[in-house]
Amino acid sequence: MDREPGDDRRDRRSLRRLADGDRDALTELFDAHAERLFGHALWLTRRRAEAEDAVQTVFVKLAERGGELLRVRRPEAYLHRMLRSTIVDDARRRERRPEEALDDAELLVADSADAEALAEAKGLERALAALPAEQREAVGLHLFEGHSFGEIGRLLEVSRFTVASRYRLAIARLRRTVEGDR
Amino acid sequence: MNDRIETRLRRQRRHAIDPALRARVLAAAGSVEPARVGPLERLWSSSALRWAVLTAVALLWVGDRWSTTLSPNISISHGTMTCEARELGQSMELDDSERRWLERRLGLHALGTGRGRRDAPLSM
Repeated sequence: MDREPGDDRRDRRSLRRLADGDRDALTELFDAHAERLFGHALWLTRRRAEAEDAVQTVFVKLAERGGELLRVRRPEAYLHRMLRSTIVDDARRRERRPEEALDDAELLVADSADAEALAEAKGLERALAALPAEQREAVGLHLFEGHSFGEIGRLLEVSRFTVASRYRLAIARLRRTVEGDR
Repeated sequence: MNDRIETRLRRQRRHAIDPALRARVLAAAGSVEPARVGPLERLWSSSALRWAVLTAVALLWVGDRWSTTLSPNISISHGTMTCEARELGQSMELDDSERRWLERRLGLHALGTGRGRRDAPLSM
């Protein structure tokens, strides 16, 4: 799942082919990025259906873009920024903010049907869902998607220090929430 | 304690992407009409061409700077123009008619100091 040094070059080639009308290039980009884009969307929206819709919108937009794709230098960051703006626009259209609390968050899967494991997953999920979107995004991208703070900073176009700060605030808040539940 | 909450989180898994999403997305994306790419846009997107153009512009600029240093310096003050040919280390005083001729020849309009064109004659 980790990105290799040549991946950006390969993705730029795929974008160029897509701009030329080669639809196989879209399949390659989907296979390379969809899982991480879905993860990113899930941490922002907290709902699987909305995350899937956002991923679909990103790839449909990508298929429409044409010449703009020829100028993309960092494809992964380009896709994640497109995803983020899609989710923000969608939330605006639905007249609610991404960080607005939802009762039915779908973030975590318990590894077993054991009651204790289920309770642990549900408790952590509730605590994660209550975080502000940017903090939840930092936790999700770092702990679950495996990005370093520097990589997250490049994806979101903020400094790594901003990402680290959001992450630390989120962990402190999670600790208080989870301890308060006990 | 911070480590403890991180450890607990690391033991969890998030929901995975639905495998059916791939077919759905590719079908939806396949039905849209891509924006047309103009020939100039395509040409400019070639990094080799972009580098060639930028290099040519840089070389022209350097060449212009170099040749300008060999061209005469013109300065006008109180109706008298001094033309100094740097490479010869000479200067000359011009009367009004010579000054007007030289202004027309060099395309100089404003009073002050200007730098002559490379094709300006050094002898009057």
